[in-house]
Amino acid sequence: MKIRFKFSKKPKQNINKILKSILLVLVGAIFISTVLISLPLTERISDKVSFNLSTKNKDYWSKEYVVSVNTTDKKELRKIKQIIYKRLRNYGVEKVSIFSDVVSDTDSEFRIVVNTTKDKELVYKLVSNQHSFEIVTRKKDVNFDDTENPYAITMRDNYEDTEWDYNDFRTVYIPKSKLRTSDGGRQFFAIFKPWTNKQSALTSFLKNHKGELLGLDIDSFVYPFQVQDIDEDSINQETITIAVYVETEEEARVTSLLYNSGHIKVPYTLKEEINRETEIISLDYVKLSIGLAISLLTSYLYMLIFKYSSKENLLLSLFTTVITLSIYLAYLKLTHIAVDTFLLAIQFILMMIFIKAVSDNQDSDLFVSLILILAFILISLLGTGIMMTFAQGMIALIALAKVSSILTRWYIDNVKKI
Amino acid sequence: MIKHMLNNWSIYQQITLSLLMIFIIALLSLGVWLFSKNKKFLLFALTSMGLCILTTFLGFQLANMIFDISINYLFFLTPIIILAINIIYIGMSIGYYNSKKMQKYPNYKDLRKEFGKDSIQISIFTILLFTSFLIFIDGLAFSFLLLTAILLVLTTWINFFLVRIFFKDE
Repeated sequence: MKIRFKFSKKPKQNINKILKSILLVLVGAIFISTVLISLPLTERISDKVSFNLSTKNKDYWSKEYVVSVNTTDKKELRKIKQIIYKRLRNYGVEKVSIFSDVVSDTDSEFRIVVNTTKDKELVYKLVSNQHSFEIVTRKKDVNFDDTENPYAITMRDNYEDTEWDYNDFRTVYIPKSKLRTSDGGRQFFAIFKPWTNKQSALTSFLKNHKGELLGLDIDSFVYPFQVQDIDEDSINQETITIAVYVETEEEARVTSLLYNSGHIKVPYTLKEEINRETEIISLDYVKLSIGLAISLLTSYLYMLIFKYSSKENLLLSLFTTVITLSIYLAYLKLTHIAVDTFLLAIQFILMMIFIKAVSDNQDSDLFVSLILILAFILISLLGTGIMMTFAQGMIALIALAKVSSILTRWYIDNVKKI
Repeated sequence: MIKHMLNNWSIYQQITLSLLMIFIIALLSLGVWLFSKNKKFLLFALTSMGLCILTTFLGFQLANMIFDISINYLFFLTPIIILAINIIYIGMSIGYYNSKKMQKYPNYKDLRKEFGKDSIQISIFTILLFTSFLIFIDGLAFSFLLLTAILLVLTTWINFFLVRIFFKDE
């Protein structure tokens, strides 16, 4: 018996169709898996993979710091408030309130209230440090090698003043990653960049002290550093580079904020820390998900019954909404990124409205997406702590919605053809 | 409220938030002009933004004075949500206008009708979605969401009436 293979007229087209069908099945399977992962409580199905939604609720803490400053000058007080706010805001503290009171003829107090999920130690560092710095030189009559006084090297009294302090540097740059040290290890470094008009004076100062051990005095604690050997004929613009004794990238960021958020000139001391009740909006996200899903379906049903949109448009926007939110939730669940459920719910509501609006009005898609993304970028750059978190999430969601929209359109079109 | 902002906000906060407002209005104006090249639309968008800011501010004042709701850090989100919906609303109208602008005499009646349809859609979505959220929360979060939802619906319909004023048949 002979077996004969019969090929149709266009075998290439058939293969394409088969491949497309396989691809559609695969994409469909990915969609279903994503939706299943994103649904609440589905993490209980599997013991092998953990993908529970991590919420920030447990991470929130709140404290009131009472700080005393040796001034009653309103302008100075306003400046200090600005510096503390800038430090905490740029670190990402969700809520910061700062109140100032004049308590005597010479002193004032600041009450700094924070409500945040950020690291307690680092917030403490940002709130409690004056971080006023200057470059100092060693006194000639002090024995820094005295084994009976190992702290001589860090004591301010053992050093002479120089003309170089925080006023002379435009920025202190700390690279995000550790740099290699001379002994082969890795460490964070701070690079002190002077104002342009002070550059040549700094280069001369460093040339005069080349190879010497100088000190960086921060709030009366001196960190010694060695000036590198500089050739007398060198025309390089020299800067001061000092090791930063921190371990993590986050600690390095906080140190950078202390250097670059402005300088508190007057004596500044932390007097008291008071634990406060945390302001958290805890939500039962299982119930909330059900509620939102029912509302979304009801809205679409209403649109369908009263013919506000065509069936195709409704299907497309509903599908895009489900896929966008599912991918986002699945990503959050799988990567264990802690989220504020309250903010997440508001972001989802906005996205539901956004996707419906742009699906119905394709002509407005570019305008709405572009302006919204730019507006959220502005908010994440200039907004307060909670505004920044919200805006960053929205940027990611809008970008994801664009990708999902293309994917779902392709998927629905091809499924229809088959 | 203004006194509180001046006394308790740092200058940095005051400057950044003022800049944010200016930049967003500039961005929206530029976007509207580039996409529509129509002065009426630009004027409509600016008036709409102005009224949104005013309505939000008045909403906060009334909530604070009549219902004794303390306007805290959470309420920073209200203007953002209203702004986002307003951008969507203005964008939808520009999209519709652009799709019809090849016609020699733009039909403003259709535009108004389209605006009405969009307003109903946004209102339905807002009411239903916010209601499903509101039943699970209480306290300040409830006040925040309720006030935001009310202001959202209100600004949507203010926009709708603005359209009737700005886009009259010539």
